[in-house]
Amino acid sequence: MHKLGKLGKPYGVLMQWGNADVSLLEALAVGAITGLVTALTTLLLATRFLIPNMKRLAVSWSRINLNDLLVTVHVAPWQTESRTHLKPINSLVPWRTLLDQVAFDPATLHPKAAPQIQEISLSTIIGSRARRPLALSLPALLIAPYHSMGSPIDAKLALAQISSVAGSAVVSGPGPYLPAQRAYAEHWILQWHLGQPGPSREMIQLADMAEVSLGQKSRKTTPAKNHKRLPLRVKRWSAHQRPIGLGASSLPQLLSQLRRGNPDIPVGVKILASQHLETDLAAVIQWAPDFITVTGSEAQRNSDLSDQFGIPTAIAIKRARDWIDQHAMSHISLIASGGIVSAADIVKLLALGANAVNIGPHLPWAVNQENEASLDIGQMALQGSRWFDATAKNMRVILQSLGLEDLGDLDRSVLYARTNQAAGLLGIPAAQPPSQGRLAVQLTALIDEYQRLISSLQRQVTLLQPQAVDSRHA
Amino acid sequence: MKTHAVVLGARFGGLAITSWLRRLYPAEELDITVVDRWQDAVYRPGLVHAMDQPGLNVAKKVTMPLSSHWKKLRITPIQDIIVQIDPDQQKVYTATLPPISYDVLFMATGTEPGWDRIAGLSPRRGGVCEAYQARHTAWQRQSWSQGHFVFAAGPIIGSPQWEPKISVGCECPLLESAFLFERWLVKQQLRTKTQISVMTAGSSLAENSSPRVRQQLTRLMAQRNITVYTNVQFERVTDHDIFIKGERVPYDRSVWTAPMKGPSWLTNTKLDDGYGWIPTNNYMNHVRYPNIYAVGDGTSHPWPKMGHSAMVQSRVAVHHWLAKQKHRKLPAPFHPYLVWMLETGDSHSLFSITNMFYGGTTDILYHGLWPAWIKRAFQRSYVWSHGSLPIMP
Repeated sequence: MHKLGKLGKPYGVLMQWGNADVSLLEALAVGAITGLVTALTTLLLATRFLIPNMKRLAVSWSRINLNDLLVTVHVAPWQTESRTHLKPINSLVPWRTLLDQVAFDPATLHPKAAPQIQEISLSTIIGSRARRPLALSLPALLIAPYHSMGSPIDAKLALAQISSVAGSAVVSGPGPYLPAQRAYAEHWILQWHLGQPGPSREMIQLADMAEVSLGQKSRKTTPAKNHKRLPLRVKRWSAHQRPIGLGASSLPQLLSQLRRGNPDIPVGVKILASQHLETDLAAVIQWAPDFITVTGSEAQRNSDLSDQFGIPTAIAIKRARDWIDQHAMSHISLIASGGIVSAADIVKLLALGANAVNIGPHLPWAVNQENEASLDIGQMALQGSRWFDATAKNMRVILQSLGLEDLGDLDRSVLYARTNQAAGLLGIPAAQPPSQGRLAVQLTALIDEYQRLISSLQRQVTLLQPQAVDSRHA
Repeated sequence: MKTHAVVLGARFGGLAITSWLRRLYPAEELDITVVDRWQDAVYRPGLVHAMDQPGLNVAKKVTMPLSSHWKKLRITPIQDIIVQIDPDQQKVYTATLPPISYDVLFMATGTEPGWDRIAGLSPRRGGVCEAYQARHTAWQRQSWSQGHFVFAAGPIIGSPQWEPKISVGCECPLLESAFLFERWLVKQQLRTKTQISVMTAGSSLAENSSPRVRQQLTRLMAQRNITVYTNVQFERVTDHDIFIKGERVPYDRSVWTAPMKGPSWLTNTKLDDGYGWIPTNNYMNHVRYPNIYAVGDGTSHPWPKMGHSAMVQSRVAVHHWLAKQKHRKLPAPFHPYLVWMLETGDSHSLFSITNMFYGGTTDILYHGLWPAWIKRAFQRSYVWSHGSLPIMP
């Protein structure tokens, strides 16, 4: 029985909280404080995270799925690469892509612990057999977005500037040729979509690398001359465009034209990663490309249906690398494209077999830090180069943790799978496989090895056969 | 019939040429076309303030959008990259547009950064010569806490025929950057934690100035405790070390002026001297083609590779062409002399005019406040007028 009044509790004892009596006034005070704290917290979160990104979210809504939205909200306020994978939000987005189901196996006592590395090289070479291979300080090629937050031209120019200070290269991307993009970029990759008017010989000569894109968007690009409100310069460019050669509509013809235009640079092909990837690779290989870019299903493309096609980037790279190695064509560089958003993604794909990666449409989000509706080129370039600085730093940290000094030392042994699904798909060991699963994984790996061995032996036998015939005749 | 003048380049030299041409020729008499790769012009000497001011502001202050300026002067701009010139057919070829015919050609195409001339060197090593580099350098500087900061000037890959010899193109912005950074460090109370070095391929600091200027600069460097390396032969640059002949210099951050070379596309024309530079006489007239003029850094001379020289050369070139056309008295030819207003921080500048390196006797030197005021006023006027100053040098 609780007493009322005269006990310093002006409104009497209302309830008991543990061993303490709580009056109405105290309860009200506690309630008010709790409410205030909740309101302030909500206000803070809204101000910090939600409101600054409302416009971005609205624009993004029709383009991306819930996972991407959550990551965007989380990433935007900090805009540094290192924050892109903080755990609290990732707990809401358990496995954004297949790559998230893969983790690194850090160097500890065995294998050898990480050395004190003063300088870890992130450099890579694309098209090693070309007369002038493309040497990059960072294995990330910046690719222009189809849907940028600001003007696509501004975004392209900003990306070119970013690529120069990041030690990377920029891909020309869709749309008209921009002289300033070439001028800003230390390394400029001429990307040519099958079906577009061809570049002039002079443009090819300006390029450091040339790529023919065979993606589904390649034939969707609207000719620039159809636009009425284009700047005079673009109209003039458009009016002067001429096909690279009559009848040069097939891939081999196009590759040959590019090679004639500039015989020094690496020339390659960009393909979508399909379930019949190996067949595609076999077809492309016969035209002797210096590199092949494989685009996984995570790539944001110019169609609402695009995400419904293809296989994930990680699987595509694993399969492409296996196929290239099996056919003794390791001189062909492999570039991964699609869904790459962090240093960890880049290193994982390099470990799976890529020589470089495309960093694409997510970048305008990363650079669009300010709350203003649009950023100028300078702001975009600065934010983007900060992102790349952080990415390069994180890549070095990862390599150091793995006990490696060079990207070339990466292989699949540094990876393990967090799920059995990823282990099976990527052929890497699982973290805690169940006993049956472990046996199954080992058997699968053994079968894979035997299959590789058999196909290798078959090829060698095939190669030896003509010589045997010749020697008999001799 | 109207004459057609084509101007290649729209920086110091190109802007001065268009300005002089339009002052001397009305639009009814002369068509002017400017070909340049850039969207906007940038007053690049102002970018040195990336070392003591926020980078975005610095770049914005010195960027000059040119479209309205061209419209006002009734000049046709063409944005493209020049790939070839046929001086016999009098045509300029660009990467994507139809050939451009000319009656008179003014070349202000400048030089090409020779990043590839030193192994491991690239724009990512830091710089203040382009707006995007300056922004990035400013951002890196703002996060600076301690270590070794190096300011390095690459060599000029000039012609062996040049006399007197020069071994570095333009180190003025580099020295200014070092001085401004040093003052900024003092304000941030980081000076004691930072070692600053200046490395130059030149035989001495400001080799094409006078002994007095060099002494003054050396004294200032010593006062500010800045280590100076001269005659540096750069071999290789990595993320943490600069390898110079016989020595490895560890560093944490750097700012570079790239090695300077003639534009590579020029070697495919008949216009260069065999080394990528354009040979001219003292009227800036091409030695073989009377209807071609060249001004600025790209000319085959050891003359100062600076904006001021390009502006003066532009005046000489345009007036020479006018005199030839109208049969007037020829203007005075160009005589090289060095004009420096080198900012040393704390609103002070080192002002010098000298031609002693080129055989003259002029040697004026002053260090104080007013040169800094003049420099600021010049920058503002230049950006405001898009290089078409009311009084041109």
